[in-house]
Amino acid sequence: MSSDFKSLTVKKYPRLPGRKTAESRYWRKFKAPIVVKEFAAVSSIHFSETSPYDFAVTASTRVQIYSSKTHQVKKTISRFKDVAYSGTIRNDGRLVVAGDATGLIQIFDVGSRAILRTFRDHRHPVHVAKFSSDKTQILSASDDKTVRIWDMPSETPLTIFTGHEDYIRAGMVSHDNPHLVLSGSYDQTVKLWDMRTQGCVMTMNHGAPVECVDMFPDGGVVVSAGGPHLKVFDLLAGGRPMHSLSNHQKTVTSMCFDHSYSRLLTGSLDHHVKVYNVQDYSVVHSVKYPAPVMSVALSPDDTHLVAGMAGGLLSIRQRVVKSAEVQTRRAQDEQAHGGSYKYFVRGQKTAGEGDFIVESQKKRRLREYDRYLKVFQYGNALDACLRTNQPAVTTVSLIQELIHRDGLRQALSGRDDISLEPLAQFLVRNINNPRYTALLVDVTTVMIDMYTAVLGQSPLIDELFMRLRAKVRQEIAFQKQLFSVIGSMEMLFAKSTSTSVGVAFHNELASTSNTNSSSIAPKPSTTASPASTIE
Amino acid sequence: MRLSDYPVVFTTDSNYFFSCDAKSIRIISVETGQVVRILSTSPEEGGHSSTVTCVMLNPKNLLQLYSASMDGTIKLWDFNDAILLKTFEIGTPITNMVMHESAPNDIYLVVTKKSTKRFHKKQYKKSGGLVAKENSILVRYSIKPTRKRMIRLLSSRSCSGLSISSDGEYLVMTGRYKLHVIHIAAGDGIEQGNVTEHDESRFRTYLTPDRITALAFHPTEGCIATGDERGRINLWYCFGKNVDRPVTTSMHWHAHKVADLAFTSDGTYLLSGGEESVLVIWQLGTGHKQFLPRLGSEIKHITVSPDDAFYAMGHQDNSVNVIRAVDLKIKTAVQGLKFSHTDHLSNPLLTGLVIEPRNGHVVLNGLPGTLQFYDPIKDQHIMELEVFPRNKVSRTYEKDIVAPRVMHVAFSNDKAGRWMVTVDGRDDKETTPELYIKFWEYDDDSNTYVLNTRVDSPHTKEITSCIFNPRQGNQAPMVVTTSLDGTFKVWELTHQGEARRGVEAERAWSCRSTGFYRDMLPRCAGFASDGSLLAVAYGQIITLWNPYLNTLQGVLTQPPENRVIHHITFLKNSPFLIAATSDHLYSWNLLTCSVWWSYQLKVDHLVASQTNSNFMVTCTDRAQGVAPQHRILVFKPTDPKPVRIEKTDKKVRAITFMPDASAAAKNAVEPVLIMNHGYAFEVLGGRTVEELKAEAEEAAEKARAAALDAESKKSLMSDIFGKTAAADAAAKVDKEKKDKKQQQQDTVASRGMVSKKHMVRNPLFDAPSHVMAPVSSLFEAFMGQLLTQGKAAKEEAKARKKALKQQKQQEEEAQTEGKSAETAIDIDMDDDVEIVSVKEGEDDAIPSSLAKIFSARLAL
Repeated sequence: MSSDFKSLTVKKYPRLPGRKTAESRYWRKFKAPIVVKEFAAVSSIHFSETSPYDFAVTASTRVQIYSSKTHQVKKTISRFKDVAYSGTIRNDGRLVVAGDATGLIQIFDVGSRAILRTFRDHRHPVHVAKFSSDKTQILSASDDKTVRIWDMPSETPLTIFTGHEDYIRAGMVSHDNPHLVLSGSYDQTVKLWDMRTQGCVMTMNHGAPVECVDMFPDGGVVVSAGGPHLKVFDLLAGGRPMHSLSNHQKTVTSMCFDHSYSRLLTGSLDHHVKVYNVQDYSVVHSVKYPAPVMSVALSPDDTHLVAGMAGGLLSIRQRVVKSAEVQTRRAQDEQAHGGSYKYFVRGQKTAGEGDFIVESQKKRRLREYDRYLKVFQYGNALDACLRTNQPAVTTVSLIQELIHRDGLRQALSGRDDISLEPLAQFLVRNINNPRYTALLVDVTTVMIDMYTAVLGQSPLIDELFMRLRAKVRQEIAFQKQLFSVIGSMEMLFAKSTSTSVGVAFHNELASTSNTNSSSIAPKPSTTASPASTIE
Repeated sequence: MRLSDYPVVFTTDSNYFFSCDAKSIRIISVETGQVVRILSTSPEEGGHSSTVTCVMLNPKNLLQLYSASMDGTIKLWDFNDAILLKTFEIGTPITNMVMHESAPNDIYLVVTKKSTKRFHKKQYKKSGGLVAKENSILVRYSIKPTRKRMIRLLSSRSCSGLSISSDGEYLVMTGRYKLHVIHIAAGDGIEQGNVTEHDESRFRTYLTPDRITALAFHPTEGCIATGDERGRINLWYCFGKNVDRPVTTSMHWHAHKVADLAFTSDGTYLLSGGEESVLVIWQLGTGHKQFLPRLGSEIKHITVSPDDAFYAMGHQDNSVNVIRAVDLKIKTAVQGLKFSHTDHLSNPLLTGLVIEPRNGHVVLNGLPGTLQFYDPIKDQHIMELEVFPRNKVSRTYEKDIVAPRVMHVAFSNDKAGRWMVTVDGRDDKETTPELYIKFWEYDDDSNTYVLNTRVDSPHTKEITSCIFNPRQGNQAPMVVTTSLDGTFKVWELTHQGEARRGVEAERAWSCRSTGFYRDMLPRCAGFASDGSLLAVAYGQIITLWNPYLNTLQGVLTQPPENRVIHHITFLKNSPFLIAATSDHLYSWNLLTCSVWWSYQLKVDHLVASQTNSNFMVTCTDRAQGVAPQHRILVFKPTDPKPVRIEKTDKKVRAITFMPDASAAAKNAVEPVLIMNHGYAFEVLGGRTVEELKAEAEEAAEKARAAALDAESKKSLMSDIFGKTAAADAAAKVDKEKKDKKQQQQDTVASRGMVSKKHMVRNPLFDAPSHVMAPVSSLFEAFMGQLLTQGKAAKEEAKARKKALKQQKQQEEEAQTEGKSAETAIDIDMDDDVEIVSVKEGEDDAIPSSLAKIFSARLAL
């Protein structure tokens, strides 16, 4: 019994629907784009998978390694005879592979920039050169319509896949199984190759020249981009197309996933980067860039969004990570994996059956206004709330509570001009907020009742009262206009539906109606009353 | 249960307390809070025929109890066995009673005489009939049959307290502004019957400026404490005989009247309580105050247990709280039906009786702004839900603070009752009225409903009804509200935002659509049992809507009638719609869209059954010259002839069908739960009186056992230090031993063998040590037993193994034989299942086709 004092419950209003979904708020955190001018179109951006997540940018005849800490060029590799393509960093962050327009594939050491290996079999430009998930092999795909797998130590080709009928501009090795290779070609197909059978095992028709392919880490679903379309294929169902999306106006040039593979980013020539939720492939956010986007990449720690554009612009957006998020991510990473020591000793520190756990009870700290409410000092509670810069909704909740306790008059009484000023200010500021109007009109009425007699004695209060009156008048005029608009609209509606029976759909207004169905038009009569009394 | 009308009384060992519950007396265990025994169960068996106002232990024999009642009798009970020992007829209603051990044959009573003045009656009504506002006469009644048993001592107006000093010398009575002190021990004038109120040596009357509301006598000193209407507590010293102006000390904390005062038995502390819901503990020597605030409801009575360990407080909301004196923490709380004790003018029963589908408890208004979940069968409080959370604050001025109201409550139809919707608000006629719809979701972890969505001012005017769509299945739940602003709104659960990274999407209710019909006002609404059709009654017109498509399906108008429809309900699995106006009852057949039958009847309540297509109305016949008759009628939708009629002698306040699995299984009539005129629950039909009685007795038996168990575990050590691990372990061992013993006995019994050693051993250790033979003489026999037991146990184990083996073999044989029979049974069962499923399909088909038939009919 003797229950605890219930501290003031601050009202919660629903968020109005708008562009500010949780999703867009997240993506908007990628702020402050740093724009770097390259010599030519940025054809490829690739992030290293190891910290500090440097990234390789391929433009013109160079591959540049950018630091994600300083956003400056760390290393420049320019030992290409022609335009370089597809600069890719190996997942240990020590090697870079790149193809070029002469058909040469080179492997560089990141530290010394020395050429370690060269592969010369391709006769046409090599647009795809990537490391296999097996560390010792690389994948290349060329305009000579072949896909090749190379062995790095021996510098020899392991497999040559032929079957495409046009340039191959996209390819990757499955993360799940290094024997599976995916390639997309301008012959409008995506092919899945198996190194074990040395041939094509699946062909999927994309319907447009394929610019980019990607695969989910479990190897079950393939996403391909080409033309303005995006297609999703289910490999386990024999390459059945699952989704076909065309949210872009122009050709989609590149794709990437976020760290958790829950969002897909696409960059397109229509200047946009769009973010899809992979659950239903709906666009949850989109970013506009000043030029056609040629390549897009997201850092493995989800802090950098880098886009390369056709004019040679490179845009780096960074998201500042709060320490809390770092900790949760660390905790996620540290979650006991099978086989680790942590996994082995998990759950051993919990209390045993016979242990008596002493629960420490934290003393609840009341806010200042709550402390005053508790001892029935209503005036002080209101002052405390107005003084400490609480959000308006807190003050409104407090006033409501005072009305519930029949203490509003008590709280407002006995004030001089200095102590009345904050309240009057508050009323002037908030009386036209549709959520608070009804309540604040009541408060205003009480205040005017109490202090009309002493008006004219303090210039401070007089001025505030005048401002209040002006505000209310303005609001009334506004409401009148609104009503005349509503009236004329209703006439039109009445013309279109002749019956007096009606049901209004609220689907779009769902959340607004949730708060207050009359939020658009608070009753003018109630707002009018204080005005008349002021006058 | 009316628990807190009158002060409770503890037994001498402080383990139980007595509470006057209308005509009966309940004995409640302090340890468990359960009712252990009920005295004066019915007038036929010698119980009181009217309210029991006062109980008191017999000073001669502390296992006996005196009870005084408004029926003018005093009864003496043996409360251990619930036996009525004696009845004393007084003849006039008794309000107070005291007695002292020094004169155990004299009972001092305050009896009331009906006043002829009219305004008294009014006051009586206002106070809810709890305090007699009539002329009070103090009499002395002798238990022994003497020449003049009843001697009138004094008469006063509206007695507010009667008390006797601990030495039995003084008797004090308060009435309005007067404090009467009577020196009863002086001389033997009273026996002679020649006492007059003007005898200054015996009677003294002191006047106070404020009306006295509470009285207590100091247990050791000559000191009286009185509390008055303005919240002041006065201590009176040096009164009596020839003192004209006694010495008084006054203490003032209470802002409103002092409801009750009590001294602890050593007289060091004085406890006071009142409307502020704060228990104030005054240390008399120092004037130091200690407070126990926010007790939830106004304090009406305070009682201190004889061993000073507990304080029992009777509250305004029909509850008794027992708190431990040491740490002022609650020990036991006994809660009755709250609504019966609230102010019914400001807090009417707006919700009616709503059955919660999860457990079948009834839900109704509790204190203002709350709902109470109550089990009417066990007469037990389940939980209280604060719909309008607030700190209870007592009024500042004379005017009461306007309390919030809960207007409607409804539950979703799924078995689990996952969703609840409430409508509440507050209107103080000064500021903008508040109106809220709140949607609550059941939380399995905390076993209560948790607020999901609050909608501020969903309608601009009063909400007239609020119902759930009863459809089954896993579609989003739907609620419809109708309001006097002319619209009805359809609310649906929607997902706001989406699931992201393992966090579930936020769910909230929002308005899906708003409907209106001409400019008429909707009064009530109903859903067909499959949820495909929504009926909204606008004035005398019933409109039918498709709630999903928001289309008007049809309009039903009562043929000649121009009266407003107050109640409307669909019936389960039937195409009938029942509507009631103030003086007619209509049954519409929706297949033909015509009135099937109608009845001229003044309908107060209309309730549809949840299990079959019956419905029930309550009505009042007001024939001229005859007292109005109140009836409960149960109808089938097709037939204007009622299938069941129940009569009640007074108006029923609320009514509902009660889900009762046992009754349904027995194919008996569906039980009906009513709240009768006295705000108590009654169950009509269903289980018989005998069954209920047997159940109650069984429950009481259980409660007694639990109380005894708890009592036996209590010790001074555990009181101070709490339960110790050792005691727990001991209890565990005890239990295991018991279980083992039980098992052993079972096995022994099943074999039909009687092992002597158990028989011998048990009495040896159960007997108290002082009756046992000397240890030296017992030793030999005891050791002998132990030794033989070891041998015997081994043999027994062998025998058991053998038996088991045999059993197994037999079972195996039996199984092989039984296989063929089992397969045959399987086939039979399959047939049954098929038949059942076909039946279900038919049942479903009827209501779901309703909407189709409608649209077809309209097209025609």
